[in-house]
Amino acid sequence: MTPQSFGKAIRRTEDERLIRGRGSFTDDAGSAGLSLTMIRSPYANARILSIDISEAWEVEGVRAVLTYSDLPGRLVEPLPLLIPHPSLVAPRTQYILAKEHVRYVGEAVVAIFATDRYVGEDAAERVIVEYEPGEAVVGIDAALGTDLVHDDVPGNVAADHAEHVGDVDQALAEAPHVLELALDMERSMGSSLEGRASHATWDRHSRKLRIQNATQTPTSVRFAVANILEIPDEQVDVFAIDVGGGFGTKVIHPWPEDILTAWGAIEYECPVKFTEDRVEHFISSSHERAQRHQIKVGFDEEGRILGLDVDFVHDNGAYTPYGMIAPLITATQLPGPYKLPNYRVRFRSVYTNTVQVTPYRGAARPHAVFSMERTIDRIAAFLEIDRAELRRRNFIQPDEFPYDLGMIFQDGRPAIYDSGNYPELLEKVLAMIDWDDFPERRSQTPPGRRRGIGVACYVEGTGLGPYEGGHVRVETGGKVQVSTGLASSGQGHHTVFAQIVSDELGVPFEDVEVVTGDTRRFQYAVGTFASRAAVMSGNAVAEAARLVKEKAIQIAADALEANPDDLEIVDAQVQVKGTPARGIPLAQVAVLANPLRYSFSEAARAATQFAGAGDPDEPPIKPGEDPGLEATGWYSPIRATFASGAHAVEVEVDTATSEVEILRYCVVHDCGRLINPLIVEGQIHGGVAQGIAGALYEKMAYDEDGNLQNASFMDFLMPYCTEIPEVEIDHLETPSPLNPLGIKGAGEAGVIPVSAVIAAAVEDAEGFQINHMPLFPSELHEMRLRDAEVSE
Amino acid sequence: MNAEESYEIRLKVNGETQQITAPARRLLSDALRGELGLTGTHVGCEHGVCGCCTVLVDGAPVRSCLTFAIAVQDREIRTVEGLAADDGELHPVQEAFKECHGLQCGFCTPGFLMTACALIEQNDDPTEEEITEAIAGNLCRCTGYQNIRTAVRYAAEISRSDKT
Amino acid sequence: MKPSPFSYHPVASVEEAVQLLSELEDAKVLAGGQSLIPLMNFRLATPTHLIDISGLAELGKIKANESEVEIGASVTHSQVLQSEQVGSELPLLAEAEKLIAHEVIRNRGTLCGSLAHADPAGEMTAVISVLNGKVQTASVSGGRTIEATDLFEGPLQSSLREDELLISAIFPKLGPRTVSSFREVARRHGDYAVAGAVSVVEYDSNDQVRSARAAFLSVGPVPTLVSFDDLLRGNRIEDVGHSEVYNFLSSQLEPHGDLQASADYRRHLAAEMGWASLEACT
Repeated sequence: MTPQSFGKAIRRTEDERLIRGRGSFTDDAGSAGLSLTMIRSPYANARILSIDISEAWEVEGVRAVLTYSDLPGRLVEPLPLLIPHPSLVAPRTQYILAKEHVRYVGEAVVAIFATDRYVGEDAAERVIVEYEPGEAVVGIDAALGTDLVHDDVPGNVAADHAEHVGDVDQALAEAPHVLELALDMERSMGSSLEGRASHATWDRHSRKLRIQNATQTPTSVRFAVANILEIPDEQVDVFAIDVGGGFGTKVIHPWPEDILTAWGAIEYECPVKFTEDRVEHFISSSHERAQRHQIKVGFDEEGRILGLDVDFVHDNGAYTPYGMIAPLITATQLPGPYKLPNYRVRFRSVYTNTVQVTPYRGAARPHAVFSMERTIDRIAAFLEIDRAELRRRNFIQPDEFPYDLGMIFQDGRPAIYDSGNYPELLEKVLAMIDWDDFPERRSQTPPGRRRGIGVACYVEGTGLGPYEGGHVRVETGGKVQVSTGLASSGQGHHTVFAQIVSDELGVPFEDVEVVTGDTRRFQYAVGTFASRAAVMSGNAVAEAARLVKEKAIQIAADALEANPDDLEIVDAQVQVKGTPARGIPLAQVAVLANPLRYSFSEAARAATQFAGAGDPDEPPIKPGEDPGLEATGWYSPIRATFASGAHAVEVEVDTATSEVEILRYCVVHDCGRLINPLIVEGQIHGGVAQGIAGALYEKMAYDEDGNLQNASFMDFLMPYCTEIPEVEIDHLETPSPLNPLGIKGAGEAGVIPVSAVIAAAVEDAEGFQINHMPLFPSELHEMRLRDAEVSE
Repeated sequence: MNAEESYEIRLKVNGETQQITAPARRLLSDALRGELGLTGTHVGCEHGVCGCCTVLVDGAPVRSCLTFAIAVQDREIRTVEGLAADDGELHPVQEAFKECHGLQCGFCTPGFLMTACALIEQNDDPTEEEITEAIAGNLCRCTGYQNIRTAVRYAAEISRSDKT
Repeated sequence: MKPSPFSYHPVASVEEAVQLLSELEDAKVLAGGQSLIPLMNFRLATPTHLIDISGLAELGKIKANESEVEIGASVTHSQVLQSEQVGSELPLLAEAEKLIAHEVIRNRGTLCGSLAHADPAGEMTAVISVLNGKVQTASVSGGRTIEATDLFEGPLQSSLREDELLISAIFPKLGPRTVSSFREVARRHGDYAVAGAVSVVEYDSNDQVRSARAAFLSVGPVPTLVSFDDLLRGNRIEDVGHSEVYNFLSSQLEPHGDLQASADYRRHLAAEMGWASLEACT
């Protein structure tokens, strides 16, 4: 394949519609029919005593008001547990409408179907729900205490899991030095600007339930809906079209509202939609990121880590629809780019009366990196060795790949790093930020300010299986139609997959049209998460394109009476290599690929049964062949491919206000071969911005009764452009040997080490330890005062 | 409960006047998206912070989620659908966002486009500070803002060169 | 997050507005709506009548004479910020406006609206307090003047009666040899201040302080006025210095903690802002 689009900063094909305001987000599907308004629990832990809906009917425009006792069929069951695991000893999922008990503020209790949300909210105000509140379990301390979230889950422990490599106890016993760290990170959330949404219509003539859903996994939503409503999969179409950001939250499925809208569309024979509002996104979608770590590390005089023991607790909220994936990722990604011959990790995932916790961009890798990088920095401080040097001494070296960590990764397969060059990542980022000259810059810090610098490295398992598929079809008009099952929410899939197909097949980029996340076009898929889409669907569409190319060449060889080995496809023409004059347009090959009885156009005439050169001793379609110039390709990896990166940041703290200013933020990033540098850099910008948000601005502020005190953008401080600095980016490419395109995932990279690197820089500036993130000025101020007292 | 009071509301959007029937409480954002079918304006928070709903009223950016449709009758309202010329030619801000990869999921984009449009049409040579001040009230979760800044700068450039 | 139902009453005169205010049960005035509508969207405010004064030309004026600047009730924040009159007669108003939310909110929100809203975290409530300004009201039983000190009763509670319409805000201009400055810290640009101070310093002919005072935002239920006269009179600010001012303010202010700041940090920040705004008045 001679790359022509691959690697180029091609402008996105998605943008034309979006900039004209012609996007198709789920709520854009229209306001005909009914809208779903939910009544949600105002208590974190309560028994439902009674629900009086009688006055809701007085509101004009109300079609139905449902409580748990009204739910039919399988809607009475708890929502599915998506990812079981042997260590997940006590999984729990919520009901579509709360059965007798609510376990977090925001849990769905009543469903109102009405003409619109205005009317629905009027009706909701008139419903009287009587609760008997109980003690709320909020925060890890409370979870480890005596009050229970689920009566039948002792100790609130959903999962208790351990992995180990080597013999940590012995290593720590024999180590010349041992340090302990206690770290924690607070809860945050993805907070996409479009919330959850579902729009369902039931066409009783064609017996089709058509659902547009703001999901990262339409194929899975389809199976879940069909399953729960007990209708054949064939009767359900799910498509995503435009999704306003997912960040992991929209992988969870089915939400109660997904089922209610689908069921409602059939029951009430009209479109039913649910568009969550901002408050609902805060209190009834998913959160992430609260963990507390206890670390013990043993090391030698040179700073080489001999043993690392990590015990952490993960707050999973009230339910575990996604199992224990987030803490499992923390556990298995913690070693990062370092050699840990003796490593033990154990975690408990515990229930609290708060919103459920499921992966959010980075998927608990930020915690892993926070743990590892703070540990490294502490060792460096203890031994008075430069922090960069300490990392060099512990890196897995470029000639040590594939490197087996000795653990099972989140895909159920061995965690084996396939390729990478961690020393070079580090050198590049140090050079970018002028690490060596920093002492000089620090000496010039103005009075009232403190300057610091930090560096952090990470490894990220990407491109998870089990598979993705791609379909490529050359139309008789010459356009190439491509589809894949996973969905898009801003990653530029339509562009990058077109780049891949255009190169593989030999057609102009402009002629390739891509559809993602539509079960009417592609039914088998896993979804968009874990930085997997480019690797998985990219390779799948490449494979499909290869198969189409093979077939095209075969058909053209027959038509041209040439040897297939002598043919190539250039600019949508199948021709004898180097001889454009001897060729057939691919479009015509598409015609020939489908033997016809009836011609419907001039071009189609060439394929009809009297048109020409068919071999009378061979059937028109040979056994094992299909009509049409199309093919389906699959990519199923042996295991994940590991991307990596290094971030460095220089900060200045204002000692009067304790505000942290980022002076420079540098990223060196390795995602293997880049399909489109513009898109990769955009992903890094966005990831770093979310990381900075999570380090300095955002957290979920629960009070002890389980009320979320900052369930709005006024108090949940998502940063504006004034809070986010420019990010400088450099690339490194260590191709993946695991897939033909040599690519690795890039979607989450930006966010992963940000808390670690900012903590490192602030610690460097202030001279006292930062063990807790996020870091708000108020806390930093208190810490500085305490530190001053201690030193007196 | 009696049916809610309805009003005849004249909305002049992108140069065209249309009459809708809606209650007084109908937010402009919902009137645009619902009654008028102009779904390019998006709703992100309904408390005026995110900026996804930003439209122009008499040339000035406003939050359509904090405006009642009935309160802006007969005012000149401009939405993202009205940015491109009648022949479809893109407005400088649209061209610039496309060229500079100033959008990813596209949900916040119409709000930024309208805000940038107001800036450029008032001042086609803004300083960095003026650009920052203009877009400082719009949230984006995908792009980290870097390319959005570049896009606004480039839109000003395009606008200046269009005039020469 | 949709508002509950209401009847809409656009008015053509102040008379009509106050008539409706007195007649209608549960009515609120709508000017820019930038404080009211979010509350309505959250259904924290559920008026059954809205009286829209935004179209009243008679309330849309900015007037200035030798001693004061008067801002009508339907004048938007943006109009105040862009006004050449304000810029030359009382630039402190423009300085404060730049700190209020973002331009898009200022395009609809009104200065008087923010005073009626009485948020102790609001910049304008602090400015009118430090300048000893006042507001004019109208009602069917007659209008009155309310001094700034009597206007704010508590967080989001003004002393306006339910049937009263705020028709203008009057800001005394700074006298000769008088300087003012605004300093605040917000978590994000445009957010309400975590703490802030607007200082006004009057100098004598020897460039020493004759009097000085500051109004503080976000440190109490209403804007908090502090006089520096005892501390600074007869001195130069830089001679008294940071420590003295900081310690003085730390003893005067007793803010509460909340999501954005602990009480201690807020007190510290307010003291720092007090100093910073004074220092900027030299």
